[in-house]
Amino acid sequence: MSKKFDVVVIGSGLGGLCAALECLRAGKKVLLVEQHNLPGGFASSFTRGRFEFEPSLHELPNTRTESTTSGVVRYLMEVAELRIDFLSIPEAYRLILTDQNLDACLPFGVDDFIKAIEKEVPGSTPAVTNFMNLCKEVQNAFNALEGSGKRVPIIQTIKKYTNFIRTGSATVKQVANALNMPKKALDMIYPYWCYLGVPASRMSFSIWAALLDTYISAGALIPKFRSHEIACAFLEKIYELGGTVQFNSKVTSIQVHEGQVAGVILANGEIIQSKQVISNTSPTNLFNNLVSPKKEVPRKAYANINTRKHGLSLFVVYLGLNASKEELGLNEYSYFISPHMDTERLYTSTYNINTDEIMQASICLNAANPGCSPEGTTILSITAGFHAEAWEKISAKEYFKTKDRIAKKLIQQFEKATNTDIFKHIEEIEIATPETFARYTGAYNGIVYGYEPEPWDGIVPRVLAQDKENYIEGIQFCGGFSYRCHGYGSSVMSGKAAAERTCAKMEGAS
Amino acid sequence: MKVVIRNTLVDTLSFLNHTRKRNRLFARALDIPMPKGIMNILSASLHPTRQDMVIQSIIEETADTKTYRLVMSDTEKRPAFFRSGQYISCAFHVGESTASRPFSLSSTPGQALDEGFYDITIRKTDQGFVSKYVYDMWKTGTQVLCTAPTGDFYYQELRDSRNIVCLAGGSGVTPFKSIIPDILIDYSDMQVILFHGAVLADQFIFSDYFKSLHEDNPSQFTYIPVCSDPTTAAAADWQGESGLISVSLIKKVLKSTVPEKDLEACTLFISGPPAMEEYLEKELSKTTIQKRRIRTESSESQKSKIEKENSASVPTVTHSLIVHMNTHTHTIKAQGNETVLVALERAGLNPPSLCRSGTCGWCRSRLLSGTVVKAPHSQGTRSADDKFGYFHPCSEFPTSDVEIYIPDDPINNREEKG
Repeated sequence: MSKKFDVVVIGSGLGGLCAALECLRAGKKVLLVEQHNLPGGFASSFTRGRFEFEPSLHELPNTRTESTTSGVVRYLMEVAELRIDFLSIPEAYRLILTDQNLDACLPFGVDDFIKAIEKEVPGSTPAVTNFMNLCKEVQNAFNALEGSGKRVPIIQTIKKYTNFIRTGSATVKQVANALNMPKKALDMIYPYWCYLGVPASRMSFSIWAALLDTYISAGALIPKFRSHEIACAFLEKIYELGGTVQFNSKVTSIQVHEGQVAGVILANGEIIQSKQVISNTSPTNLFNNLVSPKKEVPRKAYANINTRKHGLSLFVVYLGLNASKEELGLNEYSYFISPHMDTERLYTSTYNINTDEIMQASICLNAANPGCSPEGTTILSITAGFHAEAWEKISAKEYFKTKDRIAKKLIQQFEKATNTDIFKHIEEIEIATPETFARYTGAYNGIVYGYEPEPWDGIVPRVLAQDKENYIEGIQFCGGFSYRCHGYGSSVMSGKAAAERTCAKMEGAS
Repeated sequence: MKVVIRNTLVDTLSFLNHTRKRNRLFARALDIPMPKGIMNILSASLHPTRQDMVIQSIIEETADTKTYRLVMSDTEKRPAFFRSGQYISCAFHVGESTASRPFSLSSTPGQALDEGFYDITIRKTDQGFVSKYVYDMWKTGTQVLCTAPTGDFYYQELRDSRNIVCLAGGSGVTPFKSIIPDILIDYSDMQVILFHGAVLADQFIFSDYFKSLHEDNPSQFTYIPVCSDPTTAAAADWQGESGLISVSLIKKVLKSTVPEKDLEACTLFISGPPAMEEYLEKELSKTTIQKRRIRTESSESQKSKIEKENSASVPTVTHSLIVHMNTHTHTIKAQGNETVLVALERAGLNPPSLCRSGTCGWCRSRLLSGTVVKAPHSQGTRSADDKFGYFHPCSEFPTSDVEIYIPDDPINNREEKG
């Protein structure tokens, strides 16, 4: 006997969790299937000894200030009403460019941010102010899009945001040139590029602008109990609304009949009937591995995933240190450390695990979350981006040594840049590679970042292409590979949008 | 402000040109499936969900200890690579019950890779129904369902000292037969001392192996068997160290082997029964050695510690346990002095479990109603899990009737499917 659901959600990453919750809120009967024994995907936590580590979250933009009316935190707290305790992050980032003798702390708040740059780059204020204003306008356009009714054409909504339209096809580099931004000022603004994983010459300006404006103008937050708290809070609501969730389970195939989803089959052989699937797993994984029979995958779908550039995975060193942050001399939460801020060269080096040209994004968790580890200890994590291809030649035999070697290099880079002693305080160490992310989430090549947001594959082109690229009736995507691009906030909000589209289809059909 | 990149008209139009570019790129692209991701392939080889193995041979180590050599049932395959010191978990069906047990690998990662086998070494204990089952039922050719190797009890060069002191009690010596030779191959600058405590002189598992390892590496490896009770007949001609492995004994040996290093400069690896661990904890508290220098293999000893402490402190009360597992619901009995996991296994429910000591989180379950209490010393629950009502059945005891939700074990899922 097979079971019947209105919607099957594949994967309980943040997108899947949000999609499941939103479908339940719309009164649908939902099955959420997760292959791991935990919800959250990359949003999780793990313990070693007396430490509990955050696997992936650096910061969520605080979209719950007076000036913001939408965004992820407002959604989580006010719409979904999740039980999450948020803590504020004290500063935007400390930037250390070791080849350029630059060591500066950049605050949140647009005016203070501009002032901090002016201090290092005298005379930069007019250009930087222009740049930040433009970013704000882009962000406002996105907010308008988000808030507009489903029936209003996109062009109609955004036509009054003329600069948004003019820069809509541009790269970050083109806009920076057009505004005559001083190079050193750009160096100080660019570090967030590593959250997008595309160099300035290929990065869609609109995505970049929205990201920069949201962080700098609103500040950022983290959940008190690591991002696992967000996942658990979602799940609590899902259970409350009667959702069915299966962990340690897996959709092994999506049954498609004449271009329309008919159901899914689980690893234990269970057959589930459902005309709607929301996929938190990527189009890459879905079209390559899940659709059955294979002939139901249109060749256009393969062309799509073959064309799009698969983004970064991460390499993370998690350290539990047996000294307080004061004893270590760590005052900031977020550290961007790199020899320079040439995003092209830094991007190129993400394809080479032997490179010394690494940008690291490091977090001293205690600086925002003092109770995160026992008295007299500190949690430090060091993250660098790598493409899976960089690991191509690493065999199982070399794997552990390679991990240790890269981790050592990153810790040394951190010690040198911050003038601290880390090695002699290591009580616990764990190292995650693209393999680790692939192992726990099943993500294609352990990719954390989804498809690269180049201008032709930025948010607006993806939205415009949504109907055309809906290759199989009854499948909507959410998560980092979907229309909102990657990141915690985007993943959550993409789940909401996927649920809305799915529910709209169901209403249209009935 | 009006931003112009090229000219206003071109900028505005090119906004709409993305779609055209996108379609052009797709039209030119390969329209066939992509190859499997290289990281997914590596992941499947390093961390397979399950390994179907078969006993190739059995070696009698001592009167009550045997080593089982496992190879892959599919002779084309090799067992997964690992870090020396890690364990695998094996699944059992004993009568109506199901169970799993973690066993440290006593072979090296190189042997898995080059020769295709794992060794696990099991001592028959009076109270252990699994070890009795293994003794009676495991023969050459027996099929054994194993997990991939896992665990954190391994030498980590970025954290640990180049001077290692291994402290083993009884069958707790098994991971050291993997760790020590592996370290000696990889690091020519390291010093390793192994203290092995056992009750009787004839219980020193692997003593011939460690003696010859010392002969091959006299400057790098020292082997000190310590007989805890030299008055027994079996120890009549015992000439080595005796008593317990005390800090003064460790310091004495250190002084004669690496005089320039004091205890505080070494990393200690401890694997043994709870009594030994407790004794060492007391002993080491007299020194200034940092916590980071002490690595403890928690699985077996922590497990018995959990059971021992609780059976002593909690009266035997029977509770009713309502268990939701996937779509099935079972009502079973649970004793107040046994972990929820043991109750689930006795009922034959095949619950997920790996470390059985609270740390790995593989058995994580949701508490729907009732109360459970965590074993003292147990680490490893996530703070959000405490907040939202999740617990680890392997290290928590029921203190009332409880209703829980546990996920299926994916390893067993696939077993049922054949």
